[in-house]
Amino acid sequence: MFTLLSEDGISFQAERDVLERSVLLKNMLEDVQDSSNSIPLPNVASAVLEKVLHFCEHHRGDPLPVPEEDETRMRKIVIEDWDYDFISANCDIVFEIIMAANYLDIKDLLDLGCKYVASLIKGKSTEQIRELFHIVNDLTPEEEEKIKKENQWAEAV
Amino acid sequence: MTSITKRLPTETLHLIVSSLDAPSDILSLALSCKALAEIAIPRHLNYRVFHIKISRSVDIFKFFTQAELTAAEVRELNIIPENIWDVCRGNFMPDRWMANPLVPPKEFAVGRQIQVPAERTSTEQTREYEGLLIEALKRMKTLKRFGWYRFPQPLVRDGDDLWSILGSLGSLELLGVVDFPTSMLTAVDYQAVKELSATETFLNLRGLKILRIHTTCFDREKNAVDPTSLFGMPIENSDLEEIHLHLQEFNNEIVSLIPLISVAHWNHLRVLDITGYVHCTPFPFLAFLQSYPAIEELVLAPLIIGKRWFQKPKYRPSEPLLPKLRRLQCTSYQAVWLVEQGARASITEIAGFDLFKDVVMRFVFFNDPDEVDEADEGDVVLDVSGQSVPSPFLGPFLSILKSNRLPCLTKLGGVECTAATFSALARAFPRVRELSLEPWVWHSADRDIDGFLPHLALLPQLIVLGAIRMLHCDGDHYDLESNVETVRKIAETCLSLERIVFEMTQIVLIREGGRIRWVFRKIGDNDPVVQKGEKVHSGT
Repeated sequence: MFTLLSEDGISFQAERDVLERSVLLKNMLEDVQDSSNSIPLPNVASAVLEKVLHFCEHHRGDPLPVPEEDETRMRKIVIEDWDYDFISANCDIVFEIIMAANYLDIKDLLDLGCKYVASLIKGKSTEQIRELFHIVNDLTPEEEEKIKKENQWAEAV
Repeated sequence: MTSITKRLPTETLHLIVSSLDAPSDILSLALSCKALAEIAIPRHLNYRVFHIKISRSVDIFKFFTQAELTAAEVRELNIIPENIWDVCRGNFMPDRWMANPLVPPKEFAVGRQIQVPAERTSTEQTREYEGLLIEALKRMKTLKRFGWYRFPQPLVRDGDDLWSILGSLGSLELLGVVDFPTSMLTAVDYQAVKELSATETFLNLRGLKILRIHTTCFDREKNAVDPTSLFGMPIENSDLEEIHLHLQEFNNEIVSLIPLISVAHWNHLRVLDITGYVHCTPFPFLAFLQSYPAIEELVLAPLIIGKRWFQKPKYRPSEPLLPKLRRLQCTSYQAVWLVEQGARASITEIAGFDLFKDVVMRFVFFNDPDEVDEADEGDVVLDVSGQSVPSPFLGPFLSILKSNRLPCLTKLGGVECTAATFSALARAFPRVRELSLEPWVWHSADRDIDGFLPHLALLPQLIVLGAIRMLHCDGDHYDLESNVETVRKIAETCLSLERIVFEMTQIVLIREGGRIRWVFRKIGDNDPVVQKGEKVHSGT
């Protein structure tokens, strides 16, 4: 068992094969001989780290994503029921999970988070998207009109 | 709270946009702020959909061969005919090609896309272009929709042919194809082209959800129209949700639907759209429909059911037929037959029917190959004299509308009628909310709108009137100034009317107290408020 130390000083224990779903941790573990030393993760809060480890625990033993397929892999995946239940949360928590997955380099979790955010966008109007993601519109009416005009074909597709 | 653009790194935002298939979703996102516009448009939206002519797209294919990541952004690729402007009014073309025949990024549009070829491409050139297309397709790893609307069919190559590459992608959900017999071709080497029915790699495509085939079902080996091979393909695609099959006339032969529907098991079928030279007798078709309660949309060729329409049903249906059916496009006698068989509860729209007082039976069932046994009880011997007879369909159809057996019905589309039968329709179904008449109705009435006004006045709930060619127009351009009186008369007659809809544009009526004004808008823009800078027309 190895110990991870979150940003806010909380310890979590996990086995090697669970942690190795993270490319960052896998590389770190190769250098760590003594499992009694905890591994500090200064960019991940305990609440998020707990979720991340829960995900890695559930998927332990699954084949790891193939690095060569990085750019197209994510677009093909279908969200499984367990994963959907896991990731369904408010946007702030999902963003935290995505950032942790990005930092720890856990590809399937990053894919899941991005896919989920995309699913929230589907079918929504621009106003609804702004509200959902706390976006302040900095486009001038002229710029908006130009984008609409140049991409008018996309409105109905 | 912090915005998504400040919280997530740019690479992650690209991953999110990559997961969006629909261009409309990407556009909505791009319009939310500058940062997302810069991420979403140049690398994603600009590459989602391509409608291209194969002979003018060499640069595009070469680009994708070199740019794998960008190629993986393409979700829809349609190969359109070289002579798109000659054939785009054909009934197998998606309507939007009329407005946007070519949608590649601007950087490609300034190259070969806009050039007009000096002469037709040779077989060798076509083979070369297809080779480049195939190399590009190999890199479109998330392609979901592909259409081959060009003829001839692809020149099948050994090894990596177009269909096997599409199959190997594993992502394809929609396939649209046009399949004409090679004997109709003059531009390429006859022997170099195979019909789809003889192309194994096409017939072996699996995993499709939507299939659009426009074919003659001509089998060159048998030198006859024979759908056996081609029907095998949709039969083997058991996940199909939509089937759009148009049987193009060839040698005046009518194809039977029974070999297809008696074998197929489509677990998720929602749309069945069978048009053209195809027929089916009532009993197997009814048995088929009873097995597909999830169907929501049904489009029927006129000879499905055919002459046996006159046979009275031997059994009354015990279960409702097609409980989820929303849209029905068929003749008036097919609509009557379906309702008599128990389809009624949820239909909201009936389209494509005609209403005439007199019909010529020989034309209605023009060459139905069904051999009706005159000795059978209930069979009716059709009048084949070519004389007009009072329509046996008009009364039953109007009676159904009148009887409220279709309680959800609010929309009638593509109606062919005369001023007199329109009057009968309006009296039978005054609660219609959306109504569109075929363009020629106005032509035949010499755009005599005054003749229709008393009947329109019978429709107090009418909100949308589809009236292509009702107004005077110059080509495809409607000149509103010369149609002021017509619009005013209609608006004053139909007090609940909100929109008059044409092909791709519409008039939106703005009612303020007793005053009626209107604006010209694109379809979908229904806001009844005048927008800034918008030209407003008035009848006063």
